[in-house]
Amino acid sequence: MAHADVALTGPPKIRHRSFTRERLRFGYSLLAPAMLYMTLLVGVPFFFSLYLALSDASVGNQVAGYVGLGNFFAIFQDDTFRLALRNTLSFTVIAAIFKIVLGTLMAFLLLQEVRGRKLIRSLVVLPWTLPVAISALAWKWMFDPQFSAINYVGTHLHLIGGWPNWLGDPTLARAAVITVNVWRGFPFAAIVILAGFSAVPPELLDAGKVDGANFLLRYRYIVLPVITPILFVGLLFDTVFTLSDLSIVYLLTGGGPENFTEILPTRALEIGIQAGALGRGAAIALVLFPLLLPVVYVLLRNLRRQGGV
Amino acid sequence: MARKADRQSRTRSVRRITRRQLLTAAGAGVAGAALLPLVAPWKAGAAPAQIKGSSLRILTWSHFVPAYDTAFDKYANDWGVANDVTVRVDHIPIDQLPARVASELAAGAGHDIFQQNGVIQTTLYYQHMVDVSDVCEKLGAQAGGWIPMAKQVGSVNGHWYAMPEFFIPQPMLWRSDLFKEYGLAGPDTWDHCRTAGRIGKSKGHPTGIQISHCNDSNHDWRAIFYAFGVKEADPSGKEVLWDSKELRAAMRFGKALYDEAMTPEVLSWDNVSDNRYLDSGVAIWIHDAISAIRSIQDSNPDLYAKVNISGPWIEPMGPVMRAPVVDPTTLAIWSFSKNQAAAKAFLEQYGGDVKFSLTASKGYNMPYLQKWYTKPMPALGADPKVGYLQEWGKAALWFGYPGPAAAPAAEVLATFVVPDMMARYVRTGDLEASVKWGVGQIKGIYAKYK
Amino acid sequence: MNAVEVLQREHVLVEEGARRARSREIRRHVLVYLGLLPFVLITVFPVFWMAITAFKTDNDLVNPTVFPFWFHQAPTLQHFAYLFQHTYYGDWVFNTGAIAVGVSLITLLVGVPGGYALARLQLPGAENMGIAIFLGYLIPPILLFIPLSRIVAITHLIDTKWALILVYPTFTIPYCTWLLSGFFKTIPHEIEEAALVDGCGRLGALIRTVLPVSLAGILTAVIFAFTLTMQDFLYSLVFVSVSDQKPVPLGVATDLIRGDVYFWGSLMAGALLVGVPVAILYSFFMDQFISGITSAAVKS
Repeated sequence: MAHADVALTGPPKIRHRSFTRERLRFGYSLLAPAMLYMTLLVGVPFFFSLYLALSDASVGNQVAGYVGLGNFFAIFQDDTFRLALRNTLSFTVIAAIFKIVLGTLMAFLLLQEVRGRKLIRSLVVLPWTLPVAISALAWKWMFDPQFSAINYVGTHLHLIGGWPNWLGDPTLARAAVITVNVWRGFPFAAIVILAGFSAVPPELLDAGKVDGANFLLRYRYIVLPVITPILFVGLLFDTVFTLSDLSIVYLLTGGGPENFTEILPTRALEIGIQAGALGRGAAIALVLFPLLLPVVYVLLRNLRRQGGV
Repeated sequence: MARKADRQSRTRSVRRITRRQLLTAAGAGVAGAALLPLVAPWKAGAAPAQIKGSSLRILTWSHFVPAYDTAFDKYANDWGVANDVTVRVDHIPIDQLPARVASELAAGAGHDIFQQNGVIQTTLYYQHMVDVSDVCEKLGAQAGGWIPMAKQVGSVNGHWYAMPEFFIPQPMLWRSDLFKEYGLAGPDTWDHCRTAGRIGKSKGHPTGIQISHCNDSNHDWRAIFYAFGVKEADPSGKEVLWDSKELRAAMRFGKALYDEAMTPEVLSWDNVSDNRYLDSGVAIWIHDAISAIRSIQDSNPDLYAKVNISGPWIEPMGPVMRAPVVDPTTLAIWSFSKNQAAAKAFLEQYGGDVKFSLTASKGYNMPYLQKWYTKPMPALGADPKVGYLQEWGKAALWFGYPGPAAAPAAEVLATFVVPDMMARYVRTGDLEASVKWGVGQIKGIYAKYK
Repeated sequence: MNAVEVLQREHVLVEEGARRARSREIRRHVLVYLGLLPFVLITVFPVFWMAITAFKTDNDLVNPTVFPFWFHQAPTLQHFAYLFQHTYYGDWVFNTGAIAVGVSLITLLVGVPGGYALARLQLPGAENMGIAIFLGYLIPPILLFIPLSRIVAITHLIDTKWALILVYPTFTIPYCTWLLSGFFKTIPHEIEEAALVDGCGRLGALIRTVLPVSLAGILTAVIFAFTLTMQDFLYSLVFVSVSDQKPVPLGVATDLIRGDVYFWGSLMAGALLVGVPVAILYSFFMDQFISGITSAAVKS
């Protein structure tokens, strides 16, 4: 209270400066907890990981010597690592394609005003609302070598020949991992796209219709610019999850059969912890970072252009 | 294919939780009640006074004989009650143990006592483990000494850092009825095993050995490899001897065995898949621990009667030798433990209590202490079915053989190089490429430890 | 034609028009339902299978000769009983709830002031600081868990649920701060200025004017924080090995596997008991969720 009084009665210049100082003090103190927390629990560990990646630390001997980029050279020579890297990229891209296609289809359908729309919407979001580990376990049971529900349905509908061993065959196992990721991800994609569609001001759409624009033109010039930033947000959220999640692979296949479903996070866990090579494990995990940056860069640039962040 | 027997025995396994429930008769379970007279009466005050009122945390595996988990939890708890120590035991699946142990070390916090099972990394972690030479030497003195294998897994540079707990033999479990029906010679050589598997498969009774990332796969293939004369490293453990014609011969045999006698599902098997194979009546033989038949002992006595365990030959003969490779376990104390005194006291009590261990596990937990091998052994001597296991003490071989069971060999185990090498070969048929890959991985691992 | 006939004809035409419109409507409904049917099947089937498994007896489960999607022996509650009598399931549920509440609280306490400061106080360097905080979200747990385990050990919180409450905000705070800042930007400045003129301090203005109208945004942030905590597996796997401190996903994935045998009945029961209520909860807040994403992205 006193602040305001003083500020209002003092000469204009001083008032502005103390206002500003006070605003800054207020602002930085509000921001302080966030900055402090992130620095202590993310910043410091991150730099420690950098240190580990550049050293030959192991679980048994954690203070170790500097080896420069030696770990990175070593991991790139390991063909299981290269396999994990290829898998990480291909799983993310393939899953993203499926999620976008399925999500868009479902979003269009959910847009339609039909009775029971809300109920259906709640049902189809189920996969995304289940905790990841639980979905992975449910699908592990669905793919069980003896009692697979998928095989049962597939063979009885004559869609599948034989009794495929989903988790035991390299190609099928990869398909299985992608399936679980898509299954839990496409409802989120649909919801995001739906959010995008509902953000389009109907007046604009109507104006477009009046102006004689057909569906495609309307979509391109009215709908797209509005939903693009929303799509990017959704894409970023989901890509970060797909790239860094290890629970699906860990619980479904454990990286097998024979390392064919290994991804960078699971490989980092195996090398860093199971084999005890902390330095190389950290190096493997760090390789994820440059994969994430381009996505972020595009997003941020796009948002800045829109006047966001 | 009825897996009913397996599931029935599982639903009967009782899970132990709170101390209160443990102490109620209802919670004790049949096993516990039957063991009461066998459990050594606790001499109150036998443990040092300073540990009274403290707490002790033990990390161990989820035993393949479920009754043992129950019995062990009760044992630990009873010891705790008698010595005024709060004891809690946590069980995790065997394949998750190495990762958990490593994370505890990386964090510098966790349990007081931890088990190593299969993947023994004493030589890797000993600097962070409490020196338990006093306990081990005392136990050895009381029980006629340790078998040679014990020092492999527990001792570094003449000091004991881990107390060997027990080892798990993986004998041949074979269907004597089917062998008789098909006129087969017993599985006393690997060639006989292959023939039996081939004929069995043609009649709907194939065999199976895991070729996957699991503990059994690691040990079973070593049993075949060593029998063919494969050496992992020289006795000093420095020189890698994997790359040899014996390895190629063994792998060729392995692939023939796979093609003729198994189905591709073994590539995605876990540690109990072969148990299930036998328990459902399918497998003509498996090479596995006796938990496979313990689980059908009550639920399927007909089948139980038909399965033989090993024979006077102990382990099938290969071109060079018989290789009874076993799965060792140890218990050790972290140096960051806040209650080392209680931990040592517990180890001393439990380590000497072999009778409890053997009986509660129904002959699964084989001891390392010589005195216990005088026949008849508890749980094994009286039962002709498992009688041959009594010979395993003197013959037991460890991973890394003939080199030591040291850190590099343990890392080869932990990264499942051997199953991967076999998997590559059976899938691609390219022996040289698979060997080159496997040996390359192994040499890379050993090089790190120079 | 006289007036009556004209009216009658009109009436008939209108009715026919209405009938055609209705049948068009019905056709449209049918088409949409048909289109949605495969999606509903795909998304719901695994959950249905989970539910059936949870209620089937073990013998019924492993019988390969019968139709698996319905019961052949009477449904049973034995798996649920097993969960509560022979595992720490009750503790796991409590832990999950406690963790969610604790993490949400911390996230709000840190993220609301942070988001507000970034959005409305025109702090120099705000944009860069905002990006820095958000970048924290992109550093994957697989990279941080080893150093974090040291930090958690130092605080003596390891192997307790508090370790997770301490660590989960590392990904909820960046995301929610960014979300909230976007939301705060949409609030007109006049509200605050009015309060400031009235003599409230800045903090008072924040609490009294901005917060009440931001409840929707705060709710969205809570939902996101909740979502993110439920998704984690690695941190719980690494930091908590004591059975009664585990959250449900970890407990179900580790303690219901005995000696390598998966107890599918109880596994699915455990998964179902937590998964379904969470899903129902989300369906109530779905609208909030959607508007949260929208406003976070379209901050114009």
